[in-house]
Amino acid sequence: VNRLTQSVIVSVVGLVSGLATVNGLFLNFVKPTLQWPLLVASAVLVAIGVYGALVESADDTPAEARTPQRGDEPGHTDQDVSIDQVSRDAVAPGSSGAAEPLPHHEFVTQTPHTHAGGPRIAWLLVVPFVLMGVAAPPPLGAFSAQQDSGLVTTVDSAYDGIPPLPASSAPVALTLSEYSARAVYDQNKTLQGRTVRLTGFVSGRKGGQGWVLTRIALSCCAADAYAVKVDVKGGQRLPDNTWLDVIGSWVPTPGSADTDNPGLPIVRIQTMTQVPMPRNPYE
Amino acid sequence: MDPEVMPRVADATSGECRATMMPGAALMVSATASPASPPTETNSSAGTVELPGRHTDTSVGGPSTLGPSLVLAGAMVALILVKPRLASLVERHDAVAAWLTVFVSISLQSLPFLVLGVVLSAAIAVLVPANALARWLPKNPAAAVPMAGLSGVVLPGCECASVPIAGSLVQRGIRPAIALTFLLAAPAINPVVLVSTAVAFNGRLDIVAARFVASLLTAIVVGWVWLRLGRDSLIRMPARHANSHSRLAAFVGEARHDFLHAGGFLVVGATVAATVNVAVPRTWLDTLAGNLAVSIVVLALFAVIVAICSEADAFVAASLTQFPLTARLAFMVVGPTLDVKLFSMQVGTFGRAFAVRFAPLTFVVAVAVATAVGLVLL
Repeated sequence: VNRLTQSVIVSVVGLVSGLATVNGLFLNFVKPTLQWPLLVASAVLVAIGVYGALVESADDTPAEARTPQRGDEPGHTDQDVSIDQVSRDAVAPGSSGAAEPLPHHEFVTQTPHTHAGGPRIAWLLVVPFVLMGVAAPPPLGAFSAQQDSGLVTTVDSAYDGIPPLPASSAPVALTLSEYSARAVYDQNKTLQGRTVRLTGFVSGRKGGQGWVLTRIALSCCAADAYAVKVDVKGGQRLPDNTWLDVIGSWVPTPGSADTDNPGLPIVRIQTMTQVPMPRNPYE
Repeated sequence: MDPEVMPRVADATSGECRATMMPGAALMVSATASPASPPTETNSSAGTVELPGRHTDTSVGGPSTLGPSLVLAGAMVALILVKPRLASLVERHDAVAAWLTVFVSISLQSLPFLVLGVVLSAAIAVLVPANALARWLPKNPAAAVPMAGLSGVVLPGCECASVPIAGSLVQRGIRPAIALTFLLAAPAINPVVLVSTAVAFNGRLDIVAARFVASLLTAIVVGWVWLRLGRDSLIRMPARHANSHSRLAAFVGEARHDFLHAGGFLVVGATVAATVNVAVPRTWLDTLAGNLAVSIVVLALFAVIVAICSEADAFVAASLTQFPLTARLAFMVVGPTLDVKLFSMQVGTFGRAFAVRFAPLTFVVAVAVATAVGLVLL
């Protein structure tokens, strides 16, 4: 991998991640809070790539010309370059004092691997970003939800300090996590007599008939995703991954006092409307 | 060489032009296959790419890599534009889609931290004179190890950031045992991770304290063990290529090299982690929650294979309520010091011979320390 290609790879990764962050695709993979870190990182990568491609490659021409044999032979392998050659590289003309590359410590051995110092494994870095651009993988949905119990278990002890819901006669919009916490762990029963509005998608009930209203929640990225499920009473079974706006009321879960193994929270559906997937599919 | 380069460059650019017009999988095929197709489609727009391309190609001396890289750049932009049509393809295969999503998300999520890491490591490599860092540390390496561990507090990143930095420290003349202590401590004891631990465990400060103590102790003990028993000659750093004219060029060269190197290996780890994530439902874990010893080993191994970022692992640990707290502590102590993605990056940065010895050492120490701290503090 020569330096120009390295620069192109870096720019491509930066460009793709930047575009995905701008057009909202990134929300399929990570929390919205990563928007700015991603934008900054993408900008840095594009800057590094563009600088490398435009400025540096022109800059390096004399140095490269003076070590012409390096890597030019077809079929050379990663280990072909001798330590000797690398040392010559390291003190190649033009290296400034600050950029002195290696303190020659007895304990560090150099492994030269490619003709222009670039690792071949660099190509691998392109793969996830190409895949992201090509396939635009959908957010995790019913398939992943079925691998998870769907219980909100991030609370170690039962909630008792849950604040009351805002006083209003209109349905109060809650995330599924919030609904679950109030439905299962809330000693003050703040859901009693209230109408709630929940947004989630359809996924099959584990090991049985029927369906549950589901949302995938992330702590950081899709690798640590977990499902939040609310059992339903009433309502028509629609295909998996159909997004719904549900207006309904709380039904206490039988035996939910046993906080070691509470059942799923339940909502009795009054109305349900099919809606498009929210911009951020996760909670 | 010139006659050979010319048609290839023309090919590449024509492939790129075709790519923008073709949706779907055909796009990638046309992009990768373009060097073999006849160079007949060169048109006016290709000329703009060809000029700088040919110039740098002949001077750098890597003709075979220029074409693919230009095609790649063009194809990527085109692919972003046609992505909605491809989405339906993925949606028909649930497991594949889930795998892709997790694989991409691990890579995307790591990106900001990796960039932070390589920018800092490039700054160390370029701005800090060789051996200057070593002079700031205590002369006695055994005393420098705890200092290196504690200084991990200042790096607000996850493990992706600390690998290139540790590599850079070794290049700058820090003894490996000291740099490795920093490598192990930084992702586990920085403020971001501690706060997220407190949030995940609903404000339980004893768990935060146990995590801090256990992670720091693990890093220090591993540092001391490596100092005494480790063979530094096992460490093989990738060659640097720093014959640049200016500090800026040197900085960019370092950052790019580290980014591609650590990033490439990170993707290897992400592949494994995504596969485990999709193939092994988390509910399976529940069936493995047995007595304390079994639980600790199960969660420690789980931490290695799922490779969850240290800033998020506390949330996963908190959700594993079937397991005793000490086992969950082991999960949070092992994860930031050793997982498939981190191991892969260590192979890339320090060499395989080193990584296959360092990983078991880290694992054993982390499990032992976490168990001891858990039994005392939790």
